[in-house]
Amino acid sequence: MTIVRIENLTKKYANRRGIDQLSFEVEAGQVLGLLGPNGSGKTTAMKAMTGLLAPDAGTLSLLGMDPAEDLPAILERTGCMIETPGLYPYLTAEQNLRLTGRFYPGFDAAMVEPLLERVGLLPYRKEKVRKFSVGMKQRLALACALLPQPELLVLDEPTNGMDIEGTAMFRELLLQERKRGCAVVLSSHLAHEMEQLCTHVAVLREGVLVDTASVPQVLEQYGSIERYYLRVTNADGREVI
Amino acid sequence: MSRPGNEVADPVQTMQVPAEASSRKRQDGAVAKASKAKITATKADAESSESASFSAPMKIRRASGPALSGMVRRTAEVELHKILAQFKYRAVPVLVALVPLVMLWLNGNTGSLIRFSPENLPYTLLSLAASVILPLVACMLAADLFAGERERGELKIPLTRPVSRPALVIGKISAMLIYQAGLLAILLILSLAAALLSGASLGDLNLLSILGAYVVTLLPIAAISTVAALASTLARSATSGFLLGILLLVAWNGLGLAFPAISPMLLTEYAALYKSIIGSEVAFGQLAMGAGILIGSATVLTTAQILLFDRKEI
Repeated sequence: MTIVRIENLTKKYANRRGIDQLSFEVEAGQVLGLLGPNGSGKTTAMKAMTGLLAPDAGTLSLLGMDPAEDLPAILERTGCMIETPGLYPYLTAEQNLRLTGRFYPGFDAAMVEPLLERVGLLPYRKEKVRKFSVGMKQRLALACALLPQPELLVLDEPTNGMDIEGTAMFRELLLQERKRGCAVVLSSHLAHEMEQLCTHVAVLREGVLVDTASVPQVLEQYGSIERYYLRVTNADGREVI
Repeated sequence: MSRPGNEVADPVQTMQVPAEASSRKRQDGAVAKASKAKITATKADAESSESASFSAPMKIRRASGPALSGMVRRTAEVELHKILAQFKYRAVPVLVALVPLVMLWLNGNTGSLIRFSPENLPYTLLSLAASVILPLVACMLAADLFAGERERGELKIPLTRPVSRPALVIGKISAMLIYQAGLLAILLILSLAAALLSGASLGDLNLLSILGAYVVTLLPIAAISTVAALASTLARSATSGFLLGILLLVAWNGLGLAFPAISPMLLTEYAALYKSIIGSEVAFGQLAMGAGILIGSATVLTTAQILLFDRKEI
């Protein structure tokens, strides 16, 4: 079942950066990792997927729907975490989750506590988010993304600032979501993290999709995603034929 | 809650990328093949087939498609909750409540040079609220809810939830109005109390007329809120949003003074619309004209804001 279908997606900013003719598909249960340096277009692609910006050209189909027509219906089944964790600092962790839940029809407040437990924030539920560390904010933002039991997760550098325990927790959560059939698109600078989290990787550079592959194939061929990345981007200095 | 067809039964996953997507020539064709061919199960695939159970049972109901009214209601609830959770917006009602208390103190102080007619005190307060307090509060709220949230990166929270942008705009303006209606209610109660304590009797106060005046004032407040909201959508920061809101309202007033011929068409001319119902007879014509201009202006401004906000890249 194809969850994400992107064809020739183009978005250019005034500084000419953005994405150019980006195309890929993600099936249910797959985790696609977008790998690339800063400014390579990872966040732009994710923003276009979640309706935060309108693409200049190309077609997008998420969960079988067109975001230009059915964005609220798509977002009802999608969990997002774009750039910095979107949280209200003057509210507690629990209040942030409750408020997030209020956007969803039929939200049950009883979901909040187990979710806080899942991300390891139950002891801090009554604390204001402004007192949280970056890693704790990431955990809470992840809980907000998981709240609607999404069929699609769009996560922009989700483990930024997370400690070892948090990263392990995130890996476990992602595994559970995959098992449920959730498709995931995530971005990261960390090649090692991609090996552990993703089923597939897509390498972006200057807004262009350089290459895409399955993680087992990459590991078999190159031994690590880092070597694969350096190879396909020609950053290792070897001439590409 | 489980969805049929979503379980990953087959560990063999495929991923397709159009051939033209890979723009570079590669030394090794294996990776290119991998992007198009069926891919055998990954390590993570194998792990995923192990028993991993959810600790959080999810019960969110799937709607066939969120209705606008439902989205507006949910947004207004969230926004109101956010407003009331912030210290500054909990302090505003306290500060507003001080105004009738100061008036009461001035009336009771024999040495005071300023005195207010006890039976007119509710109207005096309403005039102050409609012309100064509530427009300032509207600009403050709008600056915070639109430009401020965009500046702080908080605007993407509702924008990545199942809420359309028009519903978000209307929901935010609705929350602003509910908050200001609450302020008016506080002022009404305290102004009546201050009037009675200043020596007015219940017979001196036309309660129905006073109540009507406060309710009617919601109309200019709604229109002023849409001006402030539009200004905040145009601004880049909360501060500039607040200042631009005030500037627009002042300019609107100035327009009326500079061009008296068009002043009946300007929403700022009807800030004291309540005056049309507090005389010995209700001026229905004036009330209808004012209500029409205010509702029309609010509709046009909200539509303009929705169009602008819809194009905003966050």
